[in-house]
Amino acid sequence: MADVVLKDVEKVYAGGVKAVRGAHLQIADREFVVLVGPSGCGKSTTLRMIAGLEEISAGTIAIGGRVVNDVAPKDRDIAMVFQNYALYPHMTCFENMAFGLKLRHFPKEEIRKRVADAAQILGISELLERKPKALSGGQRQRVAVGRAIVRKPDVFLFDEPLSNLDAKLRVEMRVELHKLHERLATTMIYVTHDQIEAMTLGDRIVIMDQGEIQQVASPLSLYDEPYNRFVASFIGTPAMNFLDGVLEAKGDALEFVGDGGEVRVPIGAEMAKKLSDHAGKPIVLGIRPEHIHDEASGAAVKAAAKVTAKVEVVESLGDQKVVYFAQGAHTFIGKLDAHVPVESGRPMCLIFDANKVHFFEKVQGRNLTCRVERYEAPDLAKLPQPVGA
Amino acid sequence: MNAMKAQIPMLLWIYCALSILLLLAVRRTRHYPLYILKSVWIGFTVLAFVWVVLMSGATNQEFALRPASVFGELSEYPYTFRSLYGFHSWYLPLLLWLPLWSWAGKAERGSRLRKGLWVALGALTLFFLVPLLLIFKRFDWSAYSHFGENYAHAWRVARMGDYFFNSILVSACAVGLSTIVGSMAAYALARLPFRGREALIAALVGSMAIPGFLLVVPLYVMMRSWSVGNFSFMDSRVGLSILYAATSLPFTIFLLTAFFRSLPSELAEAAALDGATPLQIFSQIYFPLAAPGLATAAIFNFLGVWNEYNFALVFVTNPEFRTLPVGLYNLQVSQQYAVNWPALFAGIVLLCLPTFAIFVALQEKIVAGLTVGGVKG
Repeated sequence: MADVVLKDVEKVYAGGVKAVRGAHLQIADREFVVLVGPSGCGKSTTLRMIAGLEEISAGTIAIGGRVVNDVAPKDRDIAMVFQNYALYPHMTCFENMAFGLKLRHFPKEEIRKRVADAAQILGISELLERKPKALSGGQRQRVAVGRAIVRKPDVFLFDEPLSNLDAKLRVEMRVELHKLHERLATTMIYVTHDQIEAMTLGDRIVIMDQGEIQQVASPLSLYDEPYNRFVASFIGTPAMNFLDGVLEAKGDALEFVGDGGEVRVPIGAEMAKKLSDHAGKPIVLGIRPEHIHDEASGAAVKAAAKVTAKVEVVESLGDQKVVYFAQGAHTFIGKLDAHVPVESGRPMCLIFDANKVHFFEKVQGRNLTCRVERYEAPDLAKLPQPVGA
Repeated sequence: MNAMKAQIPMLLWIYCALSILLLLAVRRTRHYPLYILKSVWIGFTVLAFVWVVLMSGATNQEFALRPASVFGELSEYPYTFRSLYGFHSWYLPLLLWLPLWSWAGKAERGSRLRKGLWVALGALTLFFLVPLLLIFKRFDWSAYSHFGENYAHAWRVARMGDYFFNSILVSACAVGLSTIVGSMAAYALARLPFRGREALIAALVGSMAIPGFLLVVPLYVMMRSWSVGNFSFMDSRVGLSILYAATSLPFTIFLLTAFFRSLPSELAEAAALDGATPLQIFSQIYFPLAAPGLATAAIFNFLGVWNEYNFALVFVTNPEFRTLPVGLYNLQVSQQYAVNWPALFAGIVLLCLPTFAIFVALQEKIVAGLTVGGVKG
């Protein structure tokens, strides 16, 4: 049981490439934190630095209050699950799981008991005598998780553990990992590039881009209050639409006018207060595809902005339609009900939900409408309680 | 006779080079006609060995009179064929054999045509084997019953038994030593980042280009002056083993570095997190996983060391410690004008048996191990 604290952690590779810059992160005990971001954003490097597999160029990492910068991986009391499982091919599953305990000179009885318990939790009791070669991908992944949990470490690290599995198995394993966290009540740090995994698993999510932490927040706050344009575009599928334009003062109120003058979105009084400094300046409007409605379903929207746009492409998902629109220089995506009649090539009248839009600085990309902090503290009450506590 | 003697090593070299080329070509191109060529080639090798084995059971006089032995009688084949079947074209069945074989191979599995073709092929084979068997039967085998006597002579009088033991001892020590040291060095070169690693690998590869015989004089000087207490590198089986191990190290390291590189590095990381020290990661994870590569390296080194002649000749002068190749040569030289050829052949068989057995049994594996690292395994 331990918290993990990163202070100004940097990683500079030999060629001078900065993989991670000034990473600041406080992970509470028993918390499930997910590091997410596009490839090359430094999330795996951060995880490997916590594990001790990469040297830390600057800053400190503390596990359970102990600075571990110069502590060998084996003495950090952590366990890691790798993307390609990294099972020892010449050992049976039992030997794979017992390896760490054997090296730590646990008595034989204790080893057998712990492995049997872990195997039972993961449903792999029948596979213990097999070698990894004789297992399917999902089974291998379970053995790899089993190898991590038999040691009862302070912190679990997962490096894209599900990305080698097929889609169906991935969902199953995701649910099981969630249950495992509830059951073990141990700190877990999880790296993925899949935002759905991140949103479903994490108590808090750390979004990284180009080696920098963009935002740390719970899944819902990330979606509702993205700190900047990168976070807004990374969370949610299809991604948030961005429209360039200016804020125009209209008496007391403000109105967003998109480039070309066709898209006009009125701004409510509350939001206008926050944006008053930016009147007359170029700005970026962000709206999620699910907040763009057709005329019928848009009737219920309180603050509606009418936009007429040409339908370019229609993708049918069964329960929904993803529609690509073009309006002058703007292109955007809307998520409509499957039964709305849409014809490509035809103009269509749309309703933007003006209460759900975000405004971003044109250059910095900072979100102007939400006064959120980059770092959100963990909600300690929600964390799983250790058994017997 | 002398002119022929001078030709033999050259021919042997060409033969070896062609064999290796052929094996590699077959593996690389997967061109199936080449497989037939390979089989024929291996057939010739086996025949040559059979001849040596035959001769090791003959008398000296038989060797002088009929050096080609039963193979010399093969020229009788057309005549035997004609007298047996009554027609001249003895080569016809042979010509028919190959197309029939390929047709049978291509015919649908389990079909009646295929079965029929196989029966026809069998009959045809029998057809041209019968005259051959007749020749074999007619041959006077009475001169080839001296195996026991010849081998006993080689083993005891010519001291091949002692030399065999020396060879086994030296080869085993050298191969063991070079495998252990080489695998550790290769692991370090493949896995541990340190300054000058590339230069070290380059130096090792470069050192493979130096012919061992060039080193004889400096080695002689060094080994004579290096002695610890009673131990001297000269005239010692341990000294010779160490020398062999050292000379086979560059190749071993080169081969195994490629092998270790082909193993995933996550295993080391997983083991490090599991609590293994670097030495444990090597000995418990990577060493067992490198078994195929280790086997290839060990077999190659064994073949090299077992047949080594130059170093064994120069650095061991005490007859007690001679290895087989030197002993064999000595047998021939010491008898000079009254050579007991069959005993010499018996010695050759003893020398060849281990290597021949290894090569026949593991030939595919050796080539497979050599190509590791080329493709991601």
